[in-house]
Amino acid sequence: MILNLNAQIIWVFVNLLVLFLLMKKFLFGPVTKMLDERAKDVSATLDRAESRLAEAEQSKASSDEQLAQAQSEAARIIAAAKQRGEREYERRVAEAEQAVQRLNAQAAQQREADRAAMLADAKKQIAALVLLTTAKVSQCRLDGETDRSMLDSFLQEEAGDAL
Amino acid sequence: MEAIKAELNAQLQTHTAFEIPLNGGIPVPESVVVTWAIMLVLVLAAIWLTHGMRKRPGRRQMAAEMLVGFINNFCRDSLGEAHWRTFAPYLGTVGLYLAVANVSGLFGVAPPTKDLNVTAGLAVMSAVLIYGAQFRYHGLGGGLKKFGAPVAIVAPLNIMEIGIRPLSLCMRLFGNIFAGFVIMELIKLAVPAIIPIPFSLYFDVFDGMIQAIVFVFLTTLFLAESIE
Repeated sequence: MILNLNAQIIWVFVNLLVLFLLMKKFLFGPVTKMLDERAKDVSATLDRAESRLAEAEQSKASSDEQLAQAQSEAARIIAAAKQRGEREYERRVAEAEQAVQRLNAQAAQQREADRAAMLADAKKQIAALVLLTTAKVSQCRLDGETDRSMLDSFLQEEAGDAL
Repeated sequence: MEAIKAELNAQLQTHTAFEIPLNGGIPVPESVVVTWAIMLVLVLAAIWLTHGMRKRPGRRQMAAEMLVGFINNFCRDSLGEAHWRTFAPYLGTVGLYLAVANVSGLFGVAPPTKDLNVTAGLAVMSAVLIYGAQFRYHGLGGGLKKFGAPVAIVAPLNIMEIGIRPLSLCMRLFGNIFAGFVIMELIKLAVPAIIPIPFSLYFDVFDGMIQAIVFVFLTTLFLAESIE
């Protein structure tokens, strides 16, 4: 009996169904579950990594922005300080110049006053000297009023020439 | 010559391994006993491969995942995302059983697929699966309408295929394994040593694997056609 097809085919159905259930329980079920879980894990990990990356990029952008802000702020502060310093410097220089001018003016005034005083003094002394000399030369006392006026006019002429 | 003929004939018979003494004796064919051994080997291998599975797999688990992943991917590619989970375990079971059964000749037993009952049983189960799925996913009316697809005129052919498909599945598998077995027996009778090795590699291993793949591949193909 080589081509035997008979009721013993039932054995095949039973065996195959039993094997199917056992393989499903011990091989296909657990391994497929594990593969699914791992695939889920991988996709979750990728999602998480993506969101972390986005977060990191966002925080980097904001920190960059803050840095730029801080830098511009610093530049602004420095510029303001420089400006203030320059203004202060110019003010000081102007003040100093003013003071120098004032002092120069004072000194000039003083010199002028001193010179005038000295001139007046010298005039007086010269007049006295001239009187004395004239008196000595003429051996006579000069009449006070007439001579003095004469002398004054003379001196004024001289001074006018001299000046 | 007569002696060889008698011996070959004896080898080709399907033997009854023993009888269960119930109801006046239920015969248990040799192929069924070998099938039990194969089932035991497969289940033990499955348990060994998958015990203590972790998220980070070891080598054992990687092998199990590669095997199951290969079967799952094959079914997903053929049957689509919606249905592969339903059918992958059955198709994988049949594939693994046939792969082991067809090469079992290497271990000195008669392959169960040399018994026509076994291949017929497998083919009938494939047909039940194929046409069961057709009515399960399209309803009674839709399932009947599928016989008239793509055009009504092919309906007689499609209806004949209900018988032809399992018959061809059954006979292809049986014929290949049986023929391989016959040739191997003849070679063993002629030259008992060394020479049978390369022939055994071809007829038991290569042809056996090819036939296991063809059986599962065709079943999957018909199944995809009936559920689409």
